[in-house]
Amino acid sequence: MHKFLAALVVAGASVLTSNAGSFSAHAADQINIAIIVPLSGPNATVGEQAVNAAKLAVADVNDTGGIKSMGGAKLNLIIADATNDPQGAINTSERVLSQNTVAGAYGLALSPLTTAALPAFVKHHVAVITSAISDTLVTPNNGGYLFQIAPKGSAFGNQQVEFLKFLNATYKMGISKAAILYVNNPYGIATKNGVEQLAKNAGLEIGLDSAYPGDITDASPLVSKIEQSGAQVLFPVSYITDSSLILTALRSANSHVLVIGGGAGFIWPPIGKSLGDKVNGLTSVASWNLDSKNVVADPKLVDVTKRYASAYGTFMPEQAGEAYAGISVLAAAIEAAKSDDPAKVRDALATIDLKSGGGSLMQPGEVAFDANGANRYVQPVMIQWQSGIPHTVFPESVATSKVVKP
Amino acid sequence: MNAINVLAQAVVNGLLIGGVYALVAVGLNLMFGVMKLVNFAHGEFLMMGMYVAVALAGLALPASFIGIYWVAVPAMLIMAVVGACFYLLLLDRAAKFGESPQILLTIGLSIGGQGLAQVLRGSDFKLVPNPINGAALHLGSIYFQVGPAISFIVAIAVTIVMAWILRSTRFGKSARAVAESVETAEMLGIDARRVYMITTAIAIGLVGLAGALVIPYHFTFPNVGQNFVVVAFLAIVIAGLGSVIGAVFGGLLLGVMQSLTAAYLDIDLSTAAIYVLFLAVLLLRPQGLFSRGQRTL
Repeated sequence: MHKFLAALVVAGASVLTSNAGSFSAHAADQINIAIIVPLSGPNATVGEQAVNAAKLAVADVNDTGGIKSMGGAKLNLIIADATNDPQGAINTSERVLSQNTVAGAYGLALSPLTTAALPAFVKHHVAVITSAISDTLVTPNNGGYLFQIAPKGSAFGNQQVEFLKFLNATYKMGISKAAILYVNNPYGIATKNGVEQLAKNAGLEIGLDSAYPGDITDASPLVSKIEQSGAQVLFPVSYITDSSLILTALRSANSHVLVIGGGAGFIWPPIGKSLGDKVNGLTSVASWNLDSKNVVADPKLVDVTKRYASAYGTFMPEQAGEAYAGISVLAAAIEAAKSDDPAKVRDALATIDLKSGGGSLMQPGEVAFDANGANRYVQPVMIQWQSGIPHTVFPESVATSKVVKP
Repeated sequence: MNAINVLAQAVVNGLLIGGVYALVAVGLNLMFGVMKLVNFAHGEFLMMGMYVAVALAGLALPASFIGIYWVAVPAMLIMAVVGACFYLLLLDRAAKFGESPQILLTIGLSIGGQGLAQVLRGSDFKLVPNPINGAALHLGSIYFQVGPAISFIVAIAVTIVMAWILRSTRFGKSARAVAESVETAEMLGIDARRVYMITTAIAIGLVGLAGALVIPYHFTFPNVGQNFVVVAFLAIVIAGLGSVIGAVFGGLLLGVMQSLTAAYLDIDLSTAAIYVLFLAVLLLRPQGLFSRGQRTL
């Protein structure tokens, strides 16, 4: 019996740590880079999408001659689980950075995790490229080792409101009253703040402005509040399960409110799979989309999205696009630095200005970072689900599809 | 919406989601009532039931009402077998060392179960496309979501059946005797281990049924059990530990309370409100709202 229980404990521990470990096979002709993203807990999908794309990016670099300025050295990807809580992200980052010689890193994905773990990267003088969107990450006091490849959170609200103005002007929709619903966490609050201020500036009346708990199992009460508010447009900031519950409850209530999603759950593949044809017409802001002008203009980038779809059975989602671009930018920085010394790679990232290669997957096809580590060029895009896939419909500078009147 | 409609819709919304909580809570309270065991892995059995149902739903039939609901009975039976194995292979062996190892075992299974599900099934969110998701019956300006409404009806039916089983069948009488005093029951010739095994099988089977009824309108993913089982735990404490019928009332009460709080106070307070009720019950009526201070089953 004791042996049985001991075996159970060992089996449980191995399951728990299976995703938490990192692995590397450091050799003289290899350059270690790390990807640290949530691979367990409710946001594990975010991490899996990023890891899938990172593997693809590393394979593409290695298959095309590796880091040429270093004699064709191959990239070795160290994969580690940032878990779903800030302390876990700190512990994992500290372990990966102290146990490996790492030229640079990508990941953490969520703003709370990235904020918590950033001091570890500063301490080890290792640059990290992140898809976390919080504005507070790219400030003069961030230590100089963080590079944000995605648009800032405040830019998302701006794009959503601009899109509504575009819809009002194009389709004479006469929308003047909005509801804002956001998941009560730093991501929800940061994005909501942007939307709220910009909506007011645009002359919209805010009929409902409410947070909701992140663990809801039914969105009917939320929809009742929207209906009571008389809002004509809803700006929800939600993860995948709450996005689905909100859309389901809106349909059940026969609601005609226009939904302009705040990214995340409104653009991930599962929402399309679950809603089937009913997903078509849904609009959302996104930090990246697979058919922006800069992507479709470059056959190599289109090929990347096709290979991702072929390998993983779904279109290339937002987190994957950012991860592919991020790893490609990191590889380009190592190439430019001609060294895997993390300090030199960091300096190369600070001055990099990419107009081609995998990094140009980010719209508008060019990547450079300002003094605080923010991507100088990137802007969010608006997508609309058409034929079961998100299509880029706004702004016109990157759009490849016409918006269908929602 | 006028004031009456707002109130009516809030109550309907609360009762329907409360039915889901109730269905999850019934098995939890049955195990506690008969075995004095708090099963911390109950949420993971719900998750397992959902994965079983999703797998069955994807087998053959097209997306239709029958296609999504035919899985409920086989999922329940499969999970009942899982429950029996859970008792025979783990709980029964751990029981020889006292109650604490059993509880620690369920905690370990809860944590390990989520990790195992992620390893085996991935972290992706799964929802089988079906006509139930978003479907509703409209009565004037009040609407009833079909998926939760079916869960509600089944929860009521399950309660009636369980009440009958516990009061009128040989197993039910044995279970009530074991719940009163396992030593006395065994002296009277009742096989307590057999009662425990059947109780576990029924409890896990019922949570499997709950999982199958939830998949038409809720994503399945490794951590999904926690979203439901936390409220189910609160429901059984508020209603009274060990009472199967109380578990249903507790689930419905919490569902309505969440909905009314969202409608009249603040959406963000809907979860906090049930914790306030939980604390108030612990302070003022620790035996639970629907308990007479003794185990009732």
